[in-house]
Amino acid sequence: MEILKIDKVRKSFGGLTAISDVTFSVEEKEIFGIAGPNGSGKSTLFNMISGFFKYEGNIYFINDKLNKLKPNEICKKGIARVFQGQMLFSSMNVYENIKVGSLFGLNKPTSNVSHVVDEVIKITGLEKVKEKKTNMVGLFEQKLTMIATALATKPMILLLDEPTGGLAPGEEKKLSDIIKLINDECGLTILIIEHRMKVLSDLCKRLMILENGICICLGSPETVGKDENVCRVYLGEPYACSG
Amino acid sequence: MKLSKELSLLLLIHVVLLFMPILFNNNIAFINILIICLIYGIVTGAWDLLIGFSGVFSFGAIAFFVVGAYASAVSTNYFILSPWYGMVIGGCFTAIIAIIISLACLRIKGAYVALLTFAFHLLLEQVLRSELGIRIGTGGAQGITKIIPISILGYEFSKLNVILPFYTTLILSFVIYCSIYFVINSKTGIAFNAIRDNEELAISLGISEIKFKIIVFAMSGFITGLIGGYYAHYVGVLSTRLLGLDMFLLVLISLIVGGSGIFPGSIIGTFIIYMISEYLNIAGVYRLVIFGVLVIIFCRFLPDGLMGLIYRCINRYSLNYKKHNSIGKPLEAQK
Repeated sequence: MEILKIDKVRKSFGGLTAISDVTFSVEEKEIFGIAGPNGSGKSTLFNMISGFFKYEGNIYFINDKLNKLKPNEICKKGIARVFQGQMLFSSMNVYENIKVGSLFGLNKPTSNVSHVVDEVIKITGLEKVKEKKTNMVGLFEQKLTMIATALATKPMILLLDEPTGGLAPGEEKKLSDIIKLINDECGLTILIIEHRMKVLSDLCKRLMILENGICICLGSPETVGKDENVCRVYLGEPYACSG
Repeated sequence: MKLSKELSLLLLIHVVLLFMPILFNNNIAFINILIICLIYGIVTGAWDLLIGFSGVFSFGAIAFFVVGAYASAVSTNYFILSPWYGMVIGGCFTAIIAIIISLACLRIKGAYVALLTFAFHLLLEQVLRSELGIRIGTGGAQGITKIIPISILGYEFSKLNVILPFYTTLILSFVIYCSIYFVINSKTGIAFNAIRDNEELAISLGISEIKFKIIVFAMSGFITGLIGGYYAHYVGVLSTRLLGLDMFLLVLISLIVGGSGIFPGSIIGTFIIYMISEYLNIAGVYRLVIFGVLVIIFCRFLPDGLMGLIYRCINRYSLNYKKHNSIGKPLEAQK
């Protein structure tokens, strides 16, 4: 079943076209990868799905149009977004950060907030640091807290924007295991923006490459890796022909 | 129920104040200063709700205070109402004005909110002094000289008997500070904090920033307007001089020194700053220099104010205490 359908969306900032006529759909319980060079419009796409940017074209979540909704309403519908970099509530500790997600993001809140928080902490393995302030924990734990906060809103779709950015290789592996776990056990559909192809090919069955706001290739990691256009974008013209 | 350290500190302050009239042998001048301190303390507390807990840099607190005071005085004079109704009218009217201002503030951020609210502050003085203001009953530049005094169970507030007004103000202050405490620890308070810390993230987690910004403005406006009405009926005269920089700076400095966003820093800051300002009259113009230096010192070395310092001391003490216990025990066992 198609859970998210992006239909000919277009976004421009003044004269610069950031996204032009991108169309794709995401199946339920799929991990869908998005990659592309800097400035190709990956984060813009996420900003559009999560309601931060207005755009032309349509985005459907199951059968509902998302165009007119505000970010907080989209969150309540069941699309949670994890930002790039470190976006946390600095005056709160890890537990309280996650609690904010479940207090406001759940559609029917109040009753089982602490239950949801405990569950999410268990999945992400943050038990040891839950009492610490967010600026006192390492980058890996910060990234996990961001994911946990988004998970606490009980979403159906999770948008991850460069979750492994700045992490050491060991941590990168741990994080992709957790992402797999979230996908398997909680049955979440995940859209992931990533620069590291190893992580992407490990996680996703389908992958989309954006360049200058245009989808240049969409398919399994193997086909994308052999695609001439993708080689040209990533390696430059001379290498494209040699494959 | 276990009292949190914030609430016990608040209780402690009010219990100490409870004995002040006895300690100072009913010194009318001093008790009067304490009453004004308590009133300003509430204004600071309500302002802190905006600046400290929600990160909205509103500079409209004194304007709200004056709106509440005038609304209460004018309405009670016009309809011959009890001052208590006047206070509620003042609070509600100010809340409505605050909501209108919050709607204008939704699309702007940071310093621009300060500019907009301060523009309201400056505008208010002109409106109150204008022809329109005189027609409503603000008395123009002279202000209102006759305001119905508050009376409880037949006892009227007067300048000579300060005990009744003092305890009434104390109860009012305690009730309002408690409600502020419960608001900031409720779900609404968490939303305020989340918006202050990271607005974008807060929105992405389902918090409607529009709703909560309107709520915080309405709350702060209601409390400030209510206490403005109380002030008008207690003092008995009102003029636009309240809108001068004196009170504005006093409350702002109190917030910085007490510690904004740290409960109950605002009340402690107000007491310290107001006492200094009252008893440094000898220093004349240098008083403002002293305040300036104080603000610079606090901004540079104690950005979380006196309250932050106190809590850090408490935390360190309890940490040391724990360390001693855990290290101490095995040593004793060895002996």
